[in-house]
Amino acid sequence: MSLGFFPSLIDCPTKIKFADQEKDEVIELFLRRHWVTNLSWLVLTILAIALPFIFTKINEVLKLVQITVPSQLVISAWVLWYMLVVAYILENFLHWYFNIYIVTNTHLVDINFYNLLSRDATEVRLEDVQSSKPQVQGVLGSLFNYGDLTIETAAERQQIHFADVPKPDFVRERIQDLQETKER
Amino acid sequence: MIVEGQVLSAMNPLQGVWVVANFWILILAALYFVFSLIVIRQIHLMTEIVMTEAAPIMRAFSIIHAGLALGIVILFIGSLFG
Repeated sequence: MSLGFFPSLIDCPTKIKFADQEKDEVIELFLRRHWVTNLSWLVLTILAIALPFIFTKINEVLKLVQITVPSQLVISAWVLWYMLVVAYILENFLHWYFNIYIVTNTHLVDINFYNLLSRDATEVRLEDVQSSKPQVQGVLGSLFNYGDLTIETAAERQQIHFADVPKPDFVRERIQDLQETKER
Repeated sequence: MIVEGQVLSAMNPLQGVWVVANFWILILAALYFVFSLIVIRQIHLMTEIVMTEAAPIMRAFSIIHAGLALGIVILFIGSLFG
């Protein structure tokens, strides 16, 4: 499930580290939402990019704006529009890129990036995991094999939710295997 | 001459509208620059929490992005009020 620099699932990554990682702690799975979940905002972005051109074409035919707007103001408005589009892209991309789920040989880590001003990170020990339930929903979920994995824990935070991760069944099995290995 | 006079009188109230529009565009561009600074800060913090191969590229991109945003603010000042 690789997308060059931006994969959604990495099995045993060697070049990734996270804050609070212990010396003997090894990352087993590195996950984020499946890249397909980005399609909705990508389609909106394409529409937003095309909008000024569409409006200009419609205006040429229907003459909606009769007044003459100074050319430097028109150019500035175009530039400003595309700056807003870039802001929209950045906000959505960063939201996807930094919402990360990590499974290590000792912990489950859930790093949330809500928006540009708020974020949090939660760690749960593997021995606190009580049950996990994968759920694949919708046409895209079935086609691309991604879905949610809800993990019940005995820790302070009672539930960890891995949203729209690739191969949720595989992730669940991996967590169970790690738990069994740790118990032995 | 009458037509010219009518056009000029119609243009004058619009001049005020253009000045206000220029100010708004400049304010929004300045806000965008502030947003780009927040992006730098946030990418820096997040890449400290999770260190991946793409982290240096993302940090570099955020700085270049803020530089471009500042450049656009200066460009707007020059083109709209120069």
